[in-house]
Amino acid sequence: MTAAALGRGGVIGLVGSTDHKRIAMRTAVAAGAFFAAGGLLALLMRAELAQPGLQIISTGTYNALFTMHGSTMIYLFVTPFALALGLYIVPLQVGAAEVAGPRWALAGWWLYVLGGLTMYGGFLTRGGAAQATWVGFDPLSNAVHSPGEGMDMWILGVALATAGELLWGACLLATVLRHRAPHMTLLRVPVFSWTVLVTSLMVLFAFPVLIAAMGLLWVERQWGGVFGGAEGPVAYQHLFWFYGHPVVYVMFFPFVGAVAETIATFSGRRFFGYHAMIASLLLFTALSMSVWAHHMFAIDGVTVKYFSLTSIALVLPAGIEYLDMVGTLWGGAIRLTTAMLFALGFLVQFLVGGLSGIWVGSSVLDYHANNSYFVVAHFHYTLFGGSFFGLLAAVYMWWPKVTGTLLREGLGRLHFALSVLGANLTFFPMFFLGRDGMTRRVADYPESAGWGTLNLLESLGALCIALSLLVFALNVAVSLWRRRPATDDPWGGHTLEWATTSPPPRHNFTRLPPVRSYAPLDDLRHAGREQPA
Amino acid sequence: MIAIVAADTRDAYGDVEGVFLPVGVAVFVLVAAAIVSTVWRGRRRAAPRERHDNRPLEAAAAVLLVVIAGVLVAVSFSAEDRVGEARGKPALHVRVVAAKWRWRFEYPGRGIAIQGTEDRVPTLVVPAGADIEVEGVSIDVVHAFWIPELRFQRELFARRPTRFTLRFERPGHLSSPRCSFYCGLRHQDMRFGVEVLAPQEFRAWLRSRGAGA
Repeated sequence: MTAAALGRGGVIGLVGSTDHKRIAMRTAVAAGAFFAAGGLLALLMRAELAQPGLQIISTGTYNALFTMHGSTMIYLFVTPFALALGLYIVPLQVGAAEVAGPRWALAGWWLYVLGGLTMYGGFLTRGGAAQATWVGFDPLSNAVHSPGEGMDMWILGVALATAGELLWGACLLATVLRHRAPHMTLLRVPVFSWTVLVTSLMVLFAFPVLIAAMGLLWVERQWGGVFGGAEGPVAYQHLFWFYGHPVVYVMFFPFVGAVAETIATFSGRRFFGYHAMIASLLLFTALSMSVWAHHMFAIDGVTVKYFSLTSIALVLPAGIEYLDMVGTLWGGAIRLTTAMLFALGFLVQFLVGGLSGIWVGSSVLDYHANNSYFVVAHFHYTLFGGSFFGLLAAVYMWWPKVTGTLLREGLGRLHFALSVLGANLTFFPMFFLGRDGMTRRVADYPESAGWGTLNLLESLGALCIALSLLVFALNVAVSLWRRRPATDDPWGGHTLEWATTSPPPRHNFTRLPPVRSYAPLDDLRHAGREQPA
Repeated sequence: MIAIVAADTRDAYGDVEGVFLPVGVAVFVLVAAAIVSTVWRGRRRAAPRERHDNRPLEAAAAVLLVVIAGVLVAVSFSAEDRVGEARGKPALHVRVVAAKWRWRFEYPGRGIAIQGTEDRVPTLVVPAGADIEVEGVSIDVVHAFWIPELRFQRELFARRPTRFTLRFERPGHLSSPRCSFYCGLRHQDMRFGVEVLAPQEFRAWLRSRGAGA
């Protein structure tokens, strides 16, 4: 603690600092590297799928590519980045000097990075990386059907990374519950920190189940006897999806929170309908634990009506969140910064993902959509069109706070335009391919099916996404090498992180403004004027 | 044969899609239009509005959302009751066996088995306009039996038979059916065809294969 408290540089500071900001930055860098790797895998897949027939890679390689692409994006990029955003911003937003359990948070980073490297180490083994999907379905993942060390390393990697993410969830929950500034009641916690609070609840309930499932898979591969019974494969799916659905919201909520803060800031007014938003987040979280078997509608014997009811019930909290977002925009003095553009892109594109999610929440529609490209379109609209756009809104908004420099707005707008074009070109045609009968997880499709044109369009869209990310990388490089210093509060923010320096000092604050609402800095600006009811 | 209540999965799917699609498109258009118009009008505003919540509006929205969700659930449930369920005595019993990476269709009691190979896609032959009871199993990993033309899919497991009833209304050849659940190396090649024959042609086909109708 003492070494880290001095803010020591060098190797020890790099790998051993317990400053929540440095842990979060390291996680963001590692997650960015894994994202680049997972994105390259996706580009290879799109290259193979651009035309019917097998041209570039074998089916075995393709199966490793999509398994590792999905595993990377979920276990190693979106989930850790969402939590890292919380690790950086939450202590600042609640006015804390530290994250709760800083050494646990540091251990989380080590577990996460070791898990990711272990998973990717599978590529170095003789049989190649795992090929049993990001779910690791039993019996496909057992020793008979997936021999080789690649699968073992995948199981170990998932368990390690998830254990690290679990530690972060615990630290974040304790930070919001125990480390808030004086007078910051729970109903004065900013929206972003609330989304991280409910996220950490889902992490604590769901992630241990995945770690247990990985342990059972490991035992099954070594000695057998776990999932061998007639109900074994179904039991594995129940265990997995009990984690696998809440994690979808873990990968979503912190970005909803970031978008809420972005929209409030660049509308020049505090978030509309705060209490309804908090209530809907809690309802969403409760429902997230009871919808998992909608991934299993096509299994005979699953209580489809119960899971269909809970899934479609998500219309209520999701609708309230949209009402509050639009309510914040309504009557706002809008500034269309790059961060705001990505937040608005999130709102419109996630709508497609959410509505198609209600679609597959109907069992009857899912009997056709399940395992098809319709589902691939759906979850890429939520994760890429939604979460990733929210992530970029967060990066563009908080970049000046974290680095003390400004990103270029011109490059940012170009980045945004290419992202929107690429995302929709890549993912929208997938709805039609899926409805027409194209299954997911295939390296090839028959020429007679007539899917060549749409697949080619999707591959061009993927290139466009790659180009947009190169523009982003250029923006980052320009910002860091030709620094334009940022002020403490370049946007007119509402929450406490804008009350300290950019970047913040080791223990975050030298003095705190008074906290009388969920938008303390907005209160300061209005001081002297009559407070609204 | 006595008329049997249809269990046509396409009708059930069509009923649900007929409500979900227009509702979904309408919600998208309304919300997207609200976002675009508020942003457009807000660009020139100097002083933002000061009101921070509107409880009656939120309560009204919640009621409206519950009503929408209720309609969607009701439509979906009423269709769910009609999918894959037997309503009377089936005209034909078929056993579907899935394996890495091929299909086998057996007609119990009739001595017929149609076996696909790695290079030849097998064809399931069925009569039109009759209820067909299917029992599906896998002999290795999880597979799924998907007939896109019928909007119907079920996962198949080893030692855990999956039972459902299908009905093909018109004669014809279906070329899209396939295994939809990822099952390893040659998953994409695990396809099958369905040949739907008129009832008298189907009886002739059974006789030609040496089975009693």
